[in-house]
Amino acid sequence: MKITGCCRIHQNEVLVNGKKYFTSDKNQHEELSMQLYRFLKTEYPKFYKMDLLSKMGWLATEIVCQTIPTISKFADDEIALLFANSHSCSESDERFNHSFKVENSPSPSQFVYTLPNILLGELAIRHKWYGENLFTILPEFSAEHFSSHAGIFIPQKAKALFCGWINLFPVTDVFVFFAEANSETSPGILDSKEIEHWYKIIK
Amino acid sequence: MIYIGSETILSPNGNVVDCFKKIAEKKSGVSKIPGNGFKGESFYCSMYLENRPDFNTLAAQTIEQLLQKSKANLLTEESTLLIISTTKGDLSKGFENAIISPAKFLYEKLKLKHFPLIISNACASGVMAINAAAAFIENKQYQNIIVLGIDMITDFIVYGFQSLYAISDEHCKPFDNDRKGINLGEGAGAVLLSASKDVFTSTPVCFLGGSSSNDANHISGPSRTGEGLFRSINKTFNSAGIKTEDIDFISAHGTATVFNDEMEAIAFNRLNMQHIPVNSFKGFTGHTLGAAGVIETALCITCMHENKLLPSAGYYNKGTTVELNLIKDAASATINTVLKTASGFGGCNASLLLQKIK
Repeated sequence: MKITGCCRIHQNEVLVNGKKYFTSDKNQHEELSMQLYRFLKTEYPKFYKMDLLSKMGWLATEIVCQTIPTISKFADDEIALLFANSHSCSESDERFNHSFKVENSPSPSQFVYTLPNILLGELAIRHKWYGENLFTILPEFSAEHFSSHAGIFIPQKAKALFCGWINLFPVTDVFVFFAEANSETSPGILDSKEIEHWYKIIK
Repeated sequence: MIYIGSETILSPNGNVVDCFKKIAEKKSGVSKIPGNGFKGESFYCSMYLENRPDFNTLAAQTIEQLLQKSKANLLTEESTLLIISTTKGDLSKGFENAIISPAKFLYEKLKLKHFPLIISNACASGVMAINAAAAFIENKQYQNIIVLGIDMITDFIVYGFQSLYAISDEHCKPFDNDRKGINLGEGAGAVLLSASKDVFTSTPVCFLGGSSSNDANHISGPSRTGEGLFRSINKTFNSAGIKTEDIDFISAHGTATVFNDEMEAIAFNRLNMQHIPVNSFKGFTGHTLGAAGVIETALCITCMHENKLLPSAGYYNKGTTVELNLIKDAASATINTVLKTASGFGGCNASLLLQKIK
């Protein structure tokens, strides 16, 4: 498999396929996500109600999709989603916790985001992807994780893979890439050095 | 061939043998917990009432129990991986560390060769973790994989489901006409998957295949057409070369919410499975979230060994717009092939197939 597109967000910088795409003058997640959303010029009202984890994953995936027009050639269940981070949905956990501990009113709209795979649901809804999804929690970013776990889905259960590392703490550290089979590589085999290369392009 | 066995449960209702016996005898596993609601309401849960273990202790004890049914030294072998399935982990460790912290604990305490892989995919986590384990073994990345599913009840979870009006103030009634929502449960389950039959000290069954599919419809409501579940079961059947008529028993997700159970009934009907004996274990175990898929798979394996269909606690009257064949009483039956399904928030659906060794 080969990485055919990637988006890297580190602190306030956004790179697409290694090239500078957008720099925010704000370092806060919330402001960065809104600036980037406006920069994308895409109308998607559901974006506003998402939690930060989903917003960041949604933005990076949206950007990669825009750079790879061939994504539409895959059938609606041929793209698998393999996402991970180190802190699950702790930001939403804090918010929901605040809603009942401080505001004295448990918020259902915050509670539904207290699962990290909600992000995958948001991506599935956005792109009408009915394929396999998996969200895992790792101690830290690991190129090896994505390369060795691609085989869970490829080639038996999917033809292409969207992988994502969506960490919000201690700083925004996001990496989303799309990998598909090509004639020179074997399916299900993803080179961890290639993943590492695109991740380390800013760090 | 991939084998699955060493089925283990550690829960407020005891171990896998205790749970099986109590379910067969229609004893209730849930009870009213006074004042556990946000405004002091009392909700029914399956919860440790005394000697409640902490998260790490329960996790370690469950693995120890599994090892008693498995070959010695399995745990510290290079070719063994531990997969943990949980939705919230140990919230007492703080939100950022809730999930990683127990994995670190087990990694160190059990002297594992690999850091555990943690899967957190809502209520489908358990089935997805078993499916991922099977894929690793098929790809020859590991020889043996222990899948541990574990979640504990916290105020956070109770208040959350309460805020969604998804929690019942009486015994939950999966697929019944009067169902009002879930009963929460806590506990742990574990199974061992292996490429070799020899690592099991009791007879395992075969893992035939599994898959997941997203509804691509709504983040917290199930698809009205059962699309994701339908697709997942279809994919699982096709990958295993199994047809509807091969299935002897379906262990459904059956949370007892109005929309979930209706969605499942529709998906099963789209696959012409309405006549196949089906149950939900949640009327007994409560909904143990990230542990559910593993606990229920452990119970399925026991049903296969005992050749016994277990009743769906809380079911009295047809409660879905389409037919289902809910099991009302324990019954002897030859159970060769079992379908286990699960669905969860985020639109995720997963399924797997088990079959007795021929």
